[in-house]
Amino acid sequence: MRASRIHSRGPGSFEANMTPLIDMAFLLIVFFVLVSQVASAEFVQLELPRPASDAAQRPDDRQRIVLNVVPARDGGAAGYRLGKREFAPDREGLRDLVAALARAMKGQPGVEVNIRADRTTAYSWVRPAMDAVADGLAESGIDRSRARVRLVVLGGSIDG
Amino acid sequence: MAEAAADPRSAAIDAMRAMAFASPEGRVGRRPRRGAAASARRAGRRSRGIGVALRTNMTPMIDVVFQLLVFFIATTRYAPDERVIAMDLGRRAAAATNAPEAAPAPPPQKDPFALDDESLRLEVAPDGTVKAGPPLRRSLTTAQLREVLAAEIRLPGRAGGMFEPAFPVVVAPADGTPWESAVEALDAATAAGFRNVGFERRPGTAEAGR
Repeated sequence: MRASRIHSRGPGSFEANMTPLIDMAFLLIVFFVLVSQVASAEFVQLELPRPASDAAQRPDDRQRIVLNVVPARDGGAAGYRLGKREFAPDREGLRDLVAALARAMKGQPGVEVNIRADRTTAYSWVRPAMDAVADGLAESGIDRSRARVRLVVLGGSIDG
Repeated sequence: MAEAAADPRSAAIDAMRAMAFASPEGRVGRRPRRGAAASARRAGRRSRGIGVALRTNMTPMIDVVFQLLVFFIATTRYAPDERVIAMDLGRRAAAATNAPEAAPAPPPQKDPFALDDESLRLEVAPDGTVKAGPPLRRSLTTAQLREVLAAEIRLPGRAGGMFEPAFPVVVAPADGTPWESAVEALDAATAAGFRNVGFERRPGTAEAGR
């Protein structure tokens, strides 16, 4: 059987080079795996407050410690989360949190601490987080005037 | 005799074929003559395997790779437009310890109209109203607080105003105040131009909650 006059040995086959496609797909997978890990370590599902002014600044790329106040129902807090570790909102949990903060801040005096809390969480549950940051600074021996504590909010005005 | 002569020849042809598979152009040299191919076939299975390329079926792998890709694209949550408000922790700590070395620094230039008060205290109630301490002594909504603070700050190139930008502002929310209202008061002071803004630190409040 003769399939083609030009290709005497049979029909010409079409072959696409799959290598760049697979390269790109793997690169994208690695990217998303890493990004999703970073995101899960840093972000707790909460609704941040949105102040009416545009005075809040964009975060810089400096190294930072993110302390989350995990929201519970009725303005309470289920705990405090530093990286992937979670601390109970009782006396012992807060003591552990101070120790963990001090360990994280040690050796980097210019470190920035970001505090994230839900907009409905009562202030009485956020205050211990701020106190823990202050105590952690004192414990790690970092000059308070050099410490940078930031409150994380949503940017832009309500209509924006 | 003929078999023995064909054997090294077919081996050479097979080696050439192997090179042809390895080279990106596909083919090198001339196509082997029909008779040579036949003799190579006759030579046996041993020499036949050299020129066969190893081919893996890529389809299942690409399927899985794309499944993973779609999964990660779909499940990744992107951070919304997050901003940060700087908070003055030094003042909070100084108020708590009352250590002499941690006492607030006096304003850089002394003004005859400088206020005697150490700081402006903003008490935030759970319903969001703000009671401004002396020297303002007023109960305000958040919107009014923004206006008052913006009017009372003494900025370069603007007359009037009671406070230097370095004048400390201490926000003292009540226990049940939602975080949003507390941040709103802090943001009002920051937006007005105050540089030393922080939350009040009460000593002896180690316990979380109420």
